[in-house]
Amino acid sequence: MKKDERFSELIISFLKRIHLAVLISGILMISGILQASAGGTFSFNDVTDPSPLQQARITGTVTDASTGEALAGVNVTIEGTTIGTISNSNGRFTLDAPKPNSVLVLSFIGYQSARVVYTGQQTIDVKLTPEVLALSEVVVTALGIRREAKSIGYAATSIDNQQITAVRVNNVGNTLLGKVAGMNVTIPTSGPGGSSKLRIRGQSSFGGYNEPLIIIDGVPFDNSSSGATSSEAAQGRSTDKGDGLQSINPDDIESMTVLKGIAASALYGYRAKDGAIIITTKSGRGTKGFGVEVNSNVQVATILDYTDFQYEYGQGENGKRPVNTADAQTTGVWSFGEKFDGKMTPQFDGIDRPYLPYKNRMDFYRPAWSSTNGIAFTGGNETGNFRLSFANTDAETMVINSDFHKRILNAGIEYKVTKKINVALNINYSNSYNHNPPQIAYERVTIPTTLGTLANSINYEWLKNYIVPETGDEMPLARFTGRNNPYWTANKQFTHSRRDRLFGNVSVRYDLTDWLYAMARIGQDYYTNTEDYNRATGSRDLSPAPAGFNGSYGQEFRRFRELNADFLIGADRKFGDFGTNLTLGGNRMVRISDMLSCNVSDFYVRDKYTIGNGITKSPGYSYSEKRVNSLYAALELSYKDLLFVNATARNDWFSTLNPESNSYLYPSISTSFVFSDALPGRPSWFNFGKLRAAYAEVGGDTDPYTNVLTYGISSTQLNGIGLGSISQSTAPNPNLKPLKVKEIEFGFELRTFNGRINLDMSVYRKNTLDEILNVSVSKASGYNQTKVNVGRLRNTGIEGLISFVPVDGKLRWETAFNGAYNISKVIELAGGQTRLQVASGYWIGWIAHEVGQPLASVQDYDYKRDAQGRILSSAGKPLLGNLMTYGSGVPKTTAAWLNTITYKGFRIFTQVDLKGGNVLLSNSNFNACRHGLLKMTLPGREGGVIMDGYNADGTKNTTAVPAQEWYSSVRNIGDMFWCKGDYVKWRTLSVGYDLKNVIKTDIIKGLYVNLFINNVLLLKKYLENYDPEASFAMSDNFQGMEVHTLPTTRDFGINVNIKF
Amino acid sequence: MKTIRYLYLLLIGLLITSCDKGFEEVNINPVSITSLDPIFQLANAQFNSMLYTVTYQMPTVQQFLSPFGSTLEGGQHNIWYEQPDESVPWGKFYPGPLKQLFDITLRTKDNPDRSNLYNMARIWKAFLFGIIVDSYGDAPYSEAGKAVTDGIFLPKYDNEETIYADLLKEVSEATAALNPSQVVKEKNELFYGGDIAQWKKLGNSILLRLAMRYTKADAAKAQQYVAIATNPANGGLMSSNADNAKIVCSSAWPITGASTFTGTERANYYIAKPFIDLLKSTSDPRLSRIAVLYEFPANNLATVGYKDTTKADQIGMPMGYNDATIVNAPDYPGKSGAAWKYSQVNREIMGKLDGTYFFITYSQTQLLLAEAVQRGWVTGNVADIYNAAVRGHMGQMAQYDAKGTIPTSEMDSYLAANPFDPAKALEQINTQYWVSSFMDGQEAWSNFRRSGYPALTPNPYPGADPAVKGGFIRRLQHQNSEKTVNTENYNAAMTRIGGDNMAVRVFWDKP
Repeated sequence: MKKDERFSELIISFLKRIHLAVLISGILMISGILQASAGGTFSFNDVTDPSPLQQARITGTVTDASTGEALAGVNVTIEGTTIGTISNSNGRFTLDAPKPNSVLVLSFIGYQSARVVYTGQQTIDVKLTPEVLALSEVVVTALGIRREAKSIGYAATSIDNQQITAVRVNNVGNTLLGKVAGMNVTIPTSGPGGSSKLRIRGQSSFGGYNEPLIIIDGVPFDNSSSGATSSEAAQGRSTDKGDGLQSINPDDIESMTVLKGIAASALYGYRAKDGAIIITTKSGRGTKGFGVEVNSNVQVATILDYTDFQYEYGQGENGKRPVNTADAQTTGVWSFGEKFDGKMTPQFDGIDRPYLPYKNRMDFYRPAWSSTNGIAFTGGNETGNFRLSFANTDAETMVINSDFHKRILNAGIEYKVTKKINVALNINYSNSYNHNPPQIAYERVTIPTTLGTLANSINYEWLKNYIVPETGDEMPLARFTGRNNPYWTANKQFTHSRRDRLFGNVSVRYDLTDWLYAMARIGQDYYTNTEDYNRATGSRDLSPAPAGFNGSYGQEFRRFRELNADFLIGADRKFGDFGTNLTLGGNRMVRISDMLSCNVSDFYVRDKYTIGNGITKSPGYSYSEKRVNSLYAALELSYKDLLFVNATARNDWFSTLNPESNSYLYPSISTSFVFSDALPGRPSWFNFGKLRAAYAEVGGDTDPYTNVLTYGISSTQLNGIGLGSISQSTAPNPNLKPLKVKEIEFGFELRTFNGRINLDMSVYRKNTLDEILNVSVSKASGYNQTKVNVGRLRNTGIEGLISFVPVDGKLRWETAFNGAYNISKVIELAGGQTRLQVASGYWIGWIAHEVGQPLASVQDYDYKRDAQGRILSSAGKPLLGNLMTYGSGVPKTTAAWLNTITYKGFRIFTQVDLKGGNVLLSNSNFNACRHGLLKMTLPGREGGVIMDGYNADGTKNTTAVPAQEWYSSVRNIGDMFWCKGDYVKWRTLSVGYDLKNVIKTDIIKGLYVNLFINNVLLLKKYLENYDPEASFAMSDNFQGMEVHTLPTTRDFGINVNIKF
Repeated sequence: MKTIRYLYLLLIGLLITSCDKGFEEVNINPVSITSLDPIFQLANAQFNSMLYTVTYQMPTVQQFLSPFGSTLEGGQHNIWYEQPDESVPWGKFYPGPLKQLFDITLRTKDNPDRSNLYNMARIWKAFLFGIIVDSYGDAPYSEAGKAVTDGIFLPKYDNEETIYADLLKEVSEATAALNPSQVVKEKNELFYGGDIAQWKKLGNSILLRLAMRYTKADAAKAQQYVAIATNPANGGLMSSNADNAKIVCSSAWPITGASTFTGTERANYYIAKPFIDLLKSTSDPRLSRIAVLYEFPANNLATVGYKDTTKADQIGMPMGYNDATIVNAPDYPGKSGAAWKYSQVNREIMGKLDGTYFFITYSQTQLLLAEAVQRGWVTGNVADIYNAAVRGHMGQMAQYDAKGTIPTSEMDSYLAANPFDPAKALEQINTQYWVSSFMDGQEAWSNFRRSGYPALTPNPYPGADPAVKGGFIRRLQHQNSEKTVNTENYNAAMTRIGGDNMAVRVFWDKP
């Protein structure tokens, strides 16, 4: 297909998919304009809307002084009385007329309070000025406690809903990319149902999983991911089936607060060693009457092809093109043939075609459409409020027969039973279906691998002929049987992964007095995950069945339940200049998960994938339970609202550890000094200055049941005998104690020129001690590993945010840079070891932690060299030398440049971000090399490669080695395949327009349209042929390995938000 | 009223955290077994003792090879390429069967009722350690397998000779201690269903094998233990194919490595020329059961086309080529699809997934006995023993699959055409041992190194590791994991034996 045809197809597809909301908004817009021009207004949703004719009342409107937007939920009180009201969604309020000269106080979070003297006027219109960058911004901290930002002694970054929803991505975690200094977001290129990898301030663990704790409305939420790993790859399941954040609808989020340091999250104890992300969901709070909000989003992901392969020599091996079909079926993934000449040449499907290059391998992938439609209802009055929302997402992946669907229902209810008792309920139900998530980073039935090695003279469209008609088996493409035909994989291989998830919490808060409250809360996160999958009969890489038809099929049923019960008692009193705030609480966490599975191999009836049809069946069941009990206390002391000291203590008791040493107490202390308020004669441009310091410790435990030896017995018998064995390959250790992470941080914040120039900086050092680590032991000990309490790791870093507002007026331009530099160092490993290998590349390379080096050394062998450092050769080929470390796979630098321009209802946002200081070892380029696709493999095609090396006797190498033999002999010499992992990306461009400015109707309270492009341009990279951002694994222990993933995409989307 | 409320709240708090009954029991897995009859572990150890020897051992003795490089690289290229753990004795045995056997001996040592199981485990442990020493030389022995019991995670290496001496002691003691009248019958094992008389024969046959390894290193010691092994009073040696130590595999429990012959690597492995040539030159009836030319070797068995088992048509892949240079080999037969037209192993007999795996056989044992008699260490008729051994292996072919059955008439005519020649006794015996050990690459390799027979031509591959260029692989190299983890002990041992390379000879391998 020609490029312009593809483009017009895109447009048509787009028009086909324009959604209801877009349509509705269009109609409403037109009707609104008509109504406005006819001069009529009407209202259907706000029955309490005041009539201006009522004499005894005053009415008013509250608007934002800078944007003119109506402000809903503004507190309007009459000073000195308990009389008050709240503005409705139009910003209007009504009050019984007070006594003359009464003072109306209008207050709203994020705005400076306004005082208006009542002198008998009937209407009072007030413009509230936003706080200069929200000086008294409220931050949601641990346990859902709201604190004034200035009192906080640690780094915390809040992200509001607009930043989350402006540019839509399928996983809400991915929206955080570039938004928070010190947060490293990696988006695995694994499809729309994939996970989001979030890391704050480096990696505190050798183990690879350094996920921040996700807290939703005060309750921990399981964000574990079933990202691609090699353990399931043989079954064709090295697929990313998503993480917990996939179950969150971005439109339900009111705000996200990233607590970066552990001082911030210390109250969460053992789980907060990597920081925390506090998500507050929207509620109906502050609304009056009934409101409806509709969100509709359509987007398309287009494939980015960075390959730049050689198109001079075509399919074939050892310099010969295929001479018959059998030859063609042997060499389909080799481009070591002859020079292109257009002569008729046999192909794998038995047809002779001209010997010509085809550059369209990536056209196998389709543009991937996805759409999300959501609706939310809100309502509230003085005693309660609710919010109910529903969102539906349907997303295709770029591979045919592969898609992802999710439905999320969220309900929040708050009710004031009495003046003192407040009950809140929040429930979120989600249902997701991952249909054939593509396998990545493996060989068999892995589409990117076949496409990444496919001979350059094969047109991908010919691959549609993938079945041998006589047998129904896969048509051979190459002698590497694991390079399955992509169409075979897409059509014959299946995975159905379904997840139902229900999480939520109920809390009761009792205000005993105006300074003392008690709260009890129970939260549960429960999900079931059913999955079934096959390996298709007739796949080329499968061994023949001893009887019946080969292949396999499996079913898995997983349950997960985490229960958190909390109680909290809080007191807040002021004594003169001194303020105290004390919180005491306790938590019990119970986590139970189990899995029932059955796998069958070989079938009686062909192509019938059921358990019953399987010949050999192996069922399994696993169970895991752990508990953690905790008590904690937090004390805040303040002096004159300019010096704050926060101290917390938490004690955890772990069921997974030795009862002798399973209890640990973790302290934290942080302080904030608002020195600007302490300077008597500070200049007027100096608005705000704060110094902060914090120290904290948290600990962690390990998996259940690592203390004792257990046995297993096979589910099937051999000759009537069950085979029994010790289950573990990791030697049990009954003497484990909790790991500890200790962190110290300092920071300062400055706000000057009324918020036009601001600075927020932090430095930190984070030490991990006694990490509970599986360490390799000599296999001669009987075990591969043992779990021990050894290992020390340090992360040191600096992070900062600097923002300017160069233009502020009708046109406002805000530009902000955030960046972080984190360097890790492995200080000690178990048993005096100097190297701990944690992963290997599927084809080449290793990831190891080395003492004295940053975490995650990317390693491979060097050429063997002589005493002078010259490369040695033997019979013209290189020899394997020493193990080399090329660098760390973990980026040291993450940074972003964000620009926001607002003008007359338009909002333009762009983001450029970068990562750097890491290295990549490209397994894909290694394959492209030995398969003859790299341009680098052109020298020596005629006459052989004479390598630039020396023989053992010191003479220069003169032996020519045939090209294919030489280029495939460099296996495990990483020298040619590593590169810097740095990149700079123009990540997003979005243009939003608030159509409320155009339509003058009361039906619609807001109408916002946003157009966006994601992945606008890759500005700088070092990795050839692929996107350096393409990663596959959720574990940090695969960082630095590039292995055949799906291509990255450029996404175009439109987003419409209508408020009624 | 207020006080009551406070108390109530406090009570809730205490309920949530403090009174957590059974907190410590949470960490006991309700679905795991913490005790298991150790006999089931013996079955596991037996099954997992199957070795994958297609990459190094078989090509080194020039029986089976692949022209491809990298992970398949082995004897064909005389280059060490790091193997997956499960493909080498070190990575397969220590954390596999040896781990189970250590646990069995630990748990049965002091239980008189299970003394037979204890001694079976000792015998099999010695068998596996013999293979480890044969492959690597010095190795962890006295400190091996003690991670859980003694907290030894980085065991030191013992001297290879010391280990072997202890193996002789272990096997002879354990065999003698096996008690046929023991009340508890250890039926659930895979070799003999707990038949103690057969276990004694197995013990003696293993002892004979270990003893014969000393032929050049210490003839006196060899003679001493050959005498014990062959003494009928001790239970005697394997006396028929019924005594073979073997496992008949199933589709759920397929032979380790058989998928190489029938599955993904089926187009990549061929029978080597020296092996085919020998069988062809003697018109060996086994050739047509072992070797086959498939029309489409790259296909599944169902679609391989014709199966040519005619002896005269068989053609072995010559040594020393790779996939590019093989076209230059003399008598290059060309390709069929992805595969070359060289003989392969018959996938319906020896290459079966659910076929039979042999650990030690009647035929091998009789051939060792024949050599011991020839050397004058025991009495007997060499020719008779030799003939019985050859017939034994021919008879064994039927145990792979009924399709492998060789009629007595064919055995007779083979022996008539190729009679035992006392002048070439050692060469004949050990050449037959080479044939009898086809598919048992580990033993074929060890006996080739010990006896020097058959007289093979060193592999001519130009890019060979300089250490073994012009010679044979005499030792396997260590796994990277061992080098990087147990560095100190590894270095000490490698210094002792003369380096971690494939040219170093183990103690009994004398030029």
